[in-house]
Amino acid sequence: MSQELENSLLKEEDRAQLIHYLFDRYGIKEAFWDSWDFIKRKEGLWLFPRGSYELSNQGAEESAGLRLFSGTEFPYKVTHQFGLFCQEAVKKGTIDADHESAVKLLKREVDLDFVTQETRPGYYLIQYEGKFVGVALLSRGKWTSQVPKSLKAQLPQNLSIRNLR
Amino acid sequence: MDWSLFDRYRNFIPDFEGFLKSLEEPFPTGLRGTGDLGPWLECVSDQAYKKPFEELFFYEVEGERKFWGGRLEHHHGHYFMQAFSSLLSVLALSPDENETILDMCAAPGGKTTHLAQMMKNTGLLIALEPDLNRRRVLKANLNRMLVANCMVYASKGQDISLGSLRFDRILLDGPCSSEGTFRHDTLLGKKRRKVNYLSYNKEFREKLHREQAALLDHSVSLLKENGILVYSTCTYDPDENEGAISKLLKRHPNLVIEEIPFSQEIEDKLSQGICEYEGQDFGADLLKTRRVYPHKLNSIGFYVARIRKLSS
Repeated sequence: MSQELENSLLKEEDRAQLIHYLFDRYGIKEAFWDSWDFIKRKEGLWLFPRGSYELSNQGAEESAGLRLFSGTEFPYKVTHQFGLFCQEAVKKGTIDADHESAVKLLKREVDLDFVTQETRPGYYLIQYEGKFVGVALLSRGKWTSQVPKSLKAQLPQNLSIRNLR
Repeated sequence: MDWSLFDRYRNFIPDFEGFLKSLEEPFPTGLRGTGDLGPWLECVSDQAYKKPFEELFFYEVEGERKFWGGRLEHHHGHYFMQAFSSLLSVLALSPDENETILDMCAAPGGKTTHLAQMMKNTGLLIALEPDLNRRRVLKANLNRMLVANCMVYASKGQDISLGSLRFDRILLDGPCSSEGTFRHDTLLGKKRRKVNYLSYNKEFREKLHREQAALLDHSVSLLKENGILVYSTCTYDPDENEGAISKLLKRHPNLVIEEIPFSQEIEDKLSQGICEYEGQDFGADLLKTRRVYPHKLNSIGFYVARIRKLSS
């Protein structure tokens, strides 16, 4: 395996640590990741089909896969796409919000509050009617929306969420 | 609108007057769903929607594009707004799971994301786009549609070098004169009113032909033996469509045109390719290619050809 490739694919021990963390924090079974590799790049960790990354000119591409985590070191911050991609597999670390709170989260308003007994600091996946809406960070008892600014900018003022069934 | 640009196609477009009439009408907003959108559409809009093809999660909706583009469901990747014609390229290519597939001219990503959807996010999908701004849009769409199996390269299709990597299938929906998008006055932005598009500019077209030929030749070199190439355009010009394919076959005798595996429901709305134009004989095999005319299928004009590479 080329040196360039070794630097990009997450090492097995780091992969195992990450997968264990995701099971502990979000209840995602380890087998969920069986068909996936994690590629480490400067902006975070990207998901890619297992075994496919080796096929191409690693390093020459501008992007590869889906960014699930930002940051450069464990524990990584989950992205909005993580919430969307993993929502069926996630069994904990989620909060059910009412419509008003879900809209406030999407609008990145500062006075966020959720009806929950969760107190563990960290990133939570906020849901409305069982569907992922966005990520919120609980730190020192305060909630902060992690919804991307670019998404907030594109949503209409009179936002109303009508989930797919 | 002055549609005299299309007079030279009078001899092969069926019901030419009906064709001209359809150019004055807008075509519907289309949503390609990643699943069944029917029940949700009934909730979000009090206007009726259509599902023109039973087999596909494709819907024609009322209302402005801005309405559908602003919805949270759009940003969460439940659908991609695109014209129905552009689905035909990917359906003609019929990608499968765990394959290695190349999209030679990928931005803005409607077909790329459709490829990934049909591949079920497996295998390797490589998408090429040389322009920085278009590449940003492509990557944003890949991200939005949760595409995880795609690598994006900043490269022109005819220049890409990927070592010894070869592809099971290649999609080439390349640059063309875009005549098929001249469907309604609202589609013609200020840029397109310039002479290159609304009148026949020989120099511009010949430059396009050269680029199309270069892309086609390089696509063939990147295909595996028994690999499939789909070439598509959104123009009616035979020189860019059947002419380009006919010349390609002469340059590469190991290529054959195949029948396209469309369903009968779709096939009934399409027209055969033409085998001659202005004294040029393209060959009878070009009848296996397909054309979309807006008065037959309510979408943008389109052309698609499916080619197999028999041996190296």
